[in-house]
Amino acid sequence: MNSVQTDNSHLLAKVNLRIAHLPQKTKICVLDAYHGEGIIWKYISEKSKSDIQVTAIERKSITDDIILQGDNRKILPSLSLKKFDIIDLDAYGVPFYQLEYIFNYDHKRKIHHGIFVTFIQSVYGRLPVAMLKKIGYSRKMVEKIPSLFNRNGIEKFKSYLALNGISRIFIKTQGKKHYLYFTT
Amino acid sequence: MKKIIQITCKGHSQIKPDELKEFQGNLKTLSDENYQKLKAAIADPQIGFSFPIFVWKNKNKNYIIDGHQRLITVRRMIEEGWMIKGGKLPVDWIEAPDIKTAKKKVIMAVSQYGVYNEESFLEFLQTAEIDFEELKDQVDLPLIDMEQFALDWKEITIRGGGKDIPEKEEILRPFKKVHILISFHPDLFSNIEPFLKKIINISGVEYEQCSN
Repeated sequence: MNSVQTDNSHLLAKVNLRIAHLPQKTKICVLDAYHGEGIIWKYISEKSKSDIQVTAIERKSITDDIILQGDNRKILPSLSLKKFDIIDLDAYGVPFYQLEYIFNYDHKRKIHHGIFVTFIQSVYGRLPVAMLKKIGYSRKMVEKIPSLFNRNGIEKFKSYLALNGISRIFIKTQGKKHYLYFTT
Repeated sequence: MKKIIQITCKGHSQIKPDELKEFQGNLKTLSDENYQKLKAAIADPQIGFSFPIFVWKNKNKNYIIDGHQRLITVRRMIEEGWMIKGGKLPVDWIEAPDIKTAKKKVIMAVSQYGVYNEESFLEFLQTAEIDFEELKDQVDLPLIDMEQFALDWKEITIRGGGKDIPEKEEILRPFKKVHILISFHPDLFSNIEPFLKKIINISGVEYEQCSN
């Protein structure tokens, strides 16, 4: 089960980050993998001169929007991501497994996406061990002193991004909440 | 460890929950959804048990005039492992000459004379700088469509009520790192401290530390 939920705070910051990094195209295809109530992209669609087409994924149908209902980790592999310009991972937590899939997908096909990520690490929040392993911490290390290796999550997340070839990010930070944009 | 219900008001007296007697029959019911909301409010240490129960004392029995749903909720919370701080609930005494008048007062306590609407609620929240997101799982306002208001609140937050956060551009550099975990008994610290200082001064070395 995908336990990462949608973050409902700092909506204006999230909207402005997305507007600032919209591709200069007349038609923009967005995969909104944590759709929630869909308020962010609805608002951006209204504001933007571009034709924004949103494909939404959400675990529960909470509005009248037509969505792909279910766990995005299961749905992502069934989609052809090539058609999307933007993939939005506005999660409450760390959408590591979703990013892993996207990085591998884009790398194999030599394609690029604009990615928006919400990264939130709560005070006692643990980082995905698989992510820590990717950046070189062994499971044994993490299990010995979890508090050490789960500290300063955003820096570890940036290391993970760097290892996946991300060289430039745009980030808005408020406490433990970080809103990022980068291209694969 | 038991979870504690904080008492965040002062009543005229304090009474154990099992000494309070229900008095409104089937006049009102508490849905499970609203139980969860009331529980969330009472469980919040800042909100806690915020208002005394109104009680009419008759022949040594304490009849509840106002506070049935809160008492039901507290009793369920106790069954779920919660504990009232101090073990008693604050009460205020309501006077009535007889049962009929006391029951009339139950209806008066249930009655809602003033009205509110989405606009007045919104104005109240904005004036008090209260984020509806923090409140929505703790309250039920029957005159307001809460689901619709939650959607409207998000729109309002985007369109002018929210605050932006400055954006920074950062350059990430690929790296090759070796991670070394050094774990030692505190008693050895003075022996190895000079070596640790040497290590952390080496160019390119990053370190983090903690205790376990």
